[in-house]
Amino acid sequence: MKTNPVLRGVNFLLKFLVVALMLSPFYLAFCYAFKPKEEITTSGLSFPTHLYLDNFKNAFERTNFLVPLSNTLLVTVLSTAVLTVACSMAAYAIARRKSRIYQVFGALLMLTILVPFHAYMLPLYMRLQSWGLINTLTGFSIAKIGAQVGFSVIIIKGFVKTIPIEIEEATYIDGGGVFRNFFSVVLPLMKPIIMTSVIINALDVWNEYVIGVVVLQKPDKYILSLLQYTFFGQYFVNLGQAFAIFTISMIPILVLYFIFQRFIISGIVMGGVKG
Amino acid sequence: MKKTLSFLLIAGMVLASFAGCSGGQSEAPAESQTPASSEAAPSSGAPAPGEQTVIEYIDHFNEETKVNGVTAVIEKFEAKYPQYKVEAAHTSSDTFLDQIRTRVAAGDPYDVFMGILTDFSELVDKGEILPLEDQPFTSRINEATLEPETKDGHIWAIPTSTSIGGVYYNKKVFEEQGIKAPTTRSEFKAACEKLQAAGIIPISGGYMQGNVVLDNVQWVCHPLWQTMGENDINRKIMDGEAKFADSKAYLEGLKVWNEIELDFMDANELSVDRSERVIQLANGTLGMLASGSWSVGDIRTAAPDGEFGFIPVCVFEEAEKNGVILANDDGFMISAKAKNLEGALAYMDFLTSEEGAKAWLEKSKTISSIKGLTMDDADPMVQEMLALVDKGQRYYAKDAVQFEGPALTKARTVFRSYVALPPEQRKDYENALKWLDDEFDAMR
Amino acid sequence: MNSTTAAPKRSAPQRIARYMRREAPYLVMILPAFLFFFLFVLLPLIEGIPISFTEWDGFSDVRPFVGFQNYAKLFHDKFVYNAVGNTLEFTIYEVVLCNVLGLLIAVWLKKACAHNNLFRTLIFMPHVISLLLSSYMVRYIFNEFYNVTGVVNILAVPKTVIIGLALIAIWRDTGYCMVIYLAAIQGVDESLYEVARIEGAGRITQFFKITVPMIMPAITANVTLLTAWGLKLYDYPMAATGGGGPGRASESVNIYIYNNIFPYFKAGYGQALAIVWVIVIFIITQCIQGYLRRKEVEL
Repeated sequence: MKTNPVLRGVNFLLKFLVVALMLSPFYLAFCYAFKPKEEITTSGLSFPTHLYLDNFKNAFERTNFLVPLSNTLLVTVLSTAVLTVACSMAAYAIARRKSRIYQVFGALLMLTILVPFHAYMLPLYMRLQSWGLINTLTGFSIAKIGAQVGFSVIIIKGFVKTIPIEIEEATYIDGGGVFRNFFSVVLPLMKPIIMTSVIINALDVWNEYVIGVVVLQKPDKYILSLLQYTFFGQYFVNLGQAFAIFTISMIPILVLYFIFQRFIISGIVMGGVKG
Repeated sequence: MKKTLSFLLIAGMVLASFAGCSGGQSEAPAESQTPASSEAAPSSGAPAPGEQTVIEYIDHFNEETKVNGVTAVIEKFEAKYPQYKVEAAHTSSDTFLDQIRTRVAAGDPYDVFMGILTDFSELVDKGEILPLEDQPFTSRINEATLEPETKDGHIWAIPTSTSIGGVYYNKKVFEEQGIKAPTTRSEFKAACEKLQAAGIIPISGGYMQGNVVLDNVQWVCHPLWQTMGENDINRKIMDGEAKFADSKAYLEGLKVWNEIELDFMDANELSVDRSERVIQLANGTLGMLASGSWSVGDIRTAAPDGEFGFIPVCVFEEAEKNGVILANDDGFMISAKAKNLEGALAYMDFLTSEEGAKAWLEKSKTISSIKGLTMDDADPMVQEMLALVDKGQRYYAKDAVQFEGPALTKARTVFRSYVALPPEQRKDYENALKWLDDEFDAMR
Repeated sequence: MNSTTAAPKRSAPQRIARYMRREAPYLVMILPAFLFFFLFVLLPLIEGIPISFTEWDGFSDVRPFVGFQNYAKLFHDKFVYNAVGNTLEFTIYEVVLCNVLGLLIAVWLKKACAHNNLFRTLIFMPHVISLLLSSYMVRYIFNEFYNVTGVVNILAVPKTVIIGLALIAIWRDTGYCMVIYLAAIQGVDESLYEVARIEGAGRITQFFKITVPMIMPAITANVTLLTAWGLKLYDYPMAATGGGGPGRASESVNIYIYNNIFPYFKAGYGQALAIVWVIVIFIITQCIQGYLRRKEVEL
């Protein structure tokens, strides 16, 4: 037991420094968001002399901000919900079953993580178009879910493997079925990884832009990540407005993270193992 | 878990209803029934009497001044023609090309899109672009600017503004350093040396991006191509009939470019893009900016009271031979298979009318290609540019063949790699030309 | 009574029926994920294969068939080797450093106390930022650094640009690794540590003998995943170095593929390269995963 206060203090200080380093780019974003253009070039990193709010105002107007915001919210909630349900089930099945079909599927899922979107972009676009899903939030969600399934399954699968099989065998002995076992026994144990995957999926959907560029072309369907393209142009970058939008775009996802991180980190873990 | 699932569901529903209320387009299911290519579909939520059709428009303007210009034009257009609704998309130039091509490949092209012949020559060859020489509005455009947009006897794009390429300089900085605006090659070099000694970045283009690099190469080389009889050297290189190493103009061009620009490159140059340099020119940390007339609006916004001058890239020792480069800047094309052909033509007509053109010019401050349009309150920088043109110190980009189509991107990549070479390799001119050939050939 | 010679043979339909009955619930469980994956990834991917055998330029109606020419060409293409080298260099930095740092920080902040919770949250924050924006943020930080100290932007020099990109990735992904490792560490039975402490094992020994083996599956998953991310490098150079700069020093394989499919009008060639690269990534990740799996079992 470390009781030495000096060592504890040093430990804390080191942690603080690491965190400060990690957050320094955010400081830059904050400075840029609240400074007018001229000040950004002359005195980039110094604290803003006063909080210049026009960046936010102009950026909001230029992008009609509420529209992309609501689009993004919708798509994120929808996709994350579908992903969580589909992938936790699939990950469990793949982790537990030995027969070939699951191994093959698992290996194929690895493929989604390996493949660059551009490799299958054009055929996908044509398929979505023939189904009338281009320029729809549904189309985007579907494309993104497809691309994200592999990743989601794999992170959950790794975790499921750490759950000892004996727990489940107890249920079967009691005469329970596969689904009963899954929903009442295994799923609660999977809570940490499911929470983690919810956050990771929500993040990935929120930030997705390559798929968005292809599928969502009309301004009324834009999502937040596409707005970045509005500001980082070929000949002129509007740093202040860009970072203003960025700051605002970040907030919902941070809120989500703050809400859920308790689940991951507190002791709601493996309750069954110890008992 | 059930509790969490239900929490998620409730949160989802709350957020979804939130989204539904806040004015955005409501959820997809209704949309998916509408086929992607809607002919005369009424635009969403428009209470227009009778039928209103949609015109799909896309550009890649990111400068605020230009985006405002487009918005103003569209507003006036829709007011004048209530039967049309323009759905305008502005994207970044990186994705612009892909979006156009993807939609063309899928048989669902945009009605009106930004582009000039050199951007889309391959689409022209495939018959995807509508020829415009017989349209009434075409005669409103300066013939000289229409020439570069002509191929096989047809006109494929309507240029709306002209670009003038050269070098901006910060008058105040020059005054303070006691430098006179250079008119010859050695004066230009001397000016750079003086600026560098004073701790000011002498000259920059913002070389992070390949297209900027190629622009600068062309500004240096156009006078050389055209005075040394190598107007079609690029055509020959593209067709594989000649090499960079065969070209005396390119040899001289590399020498000049290194001498008056690259030797003075800021160490950080390859990580800085043009937009940042614009601001640095405005606040005096940069002495000269190699750019074109499209930057006027941005420079003026960055320094509303600043004084800036414009000079050509001084390739020659004889001052009169140095000239700015005129080319078509913004232009617009219409898809041959546009769904709303009528609307597209109406829009182009309005864009080139006095009313539309003025709405654009007011905000964008560019140089119009429309005949007879007077620029009374043109920015002093523009006045200096036009003065040079009037004096005859100009070269037309159309008088020499420029890289186009797939070769354009390859040329950009190749020259961008060139700029990143270590100085010894860069300035070993004969071998550098051979190197350019190798790089270019490897990409065929 | 069964015959004494052999177990009763079941006919094929009976075997299939039995299999289905046993596996049915599990097949249902994988169905939704499978559908999405199949329809919106696998099928388009397969549809893209024929393209690699043509010299299609990406949009015209004509697709001239050229057989394996594209595949042969790419082995001689020096830009392919340049891109592969860049991508591999990046991947190694990224995988090693993110995982090592992520694990160390996870252990460091293991205790669920107030300041640890706050720090964990803050360290994960960079992962919240989209790839595009994080690239810009870091690029401007480096530029500002240059303005202040005159130290050239690490992204502007061909020799160091890959390190610069790796820094962006580390900034962003260490938090992710930390989170995954935290979840895994939470699952390690506390009593194991008790026993070790009683037997007099120090913190470091505990770490290597208990923590690491117990979280091996998480390590496997993370290393494999980060390797895949690294090999798919695309967004960081696109945003931070203008698509591969300076020159081609940060051109990754995916950027080269993209450039071929779109700006260079060589969709057939680009597609072929994409397919080969996918296979390469697959082989690399399978090897890594296989190796780590064996370690899992050992430990």
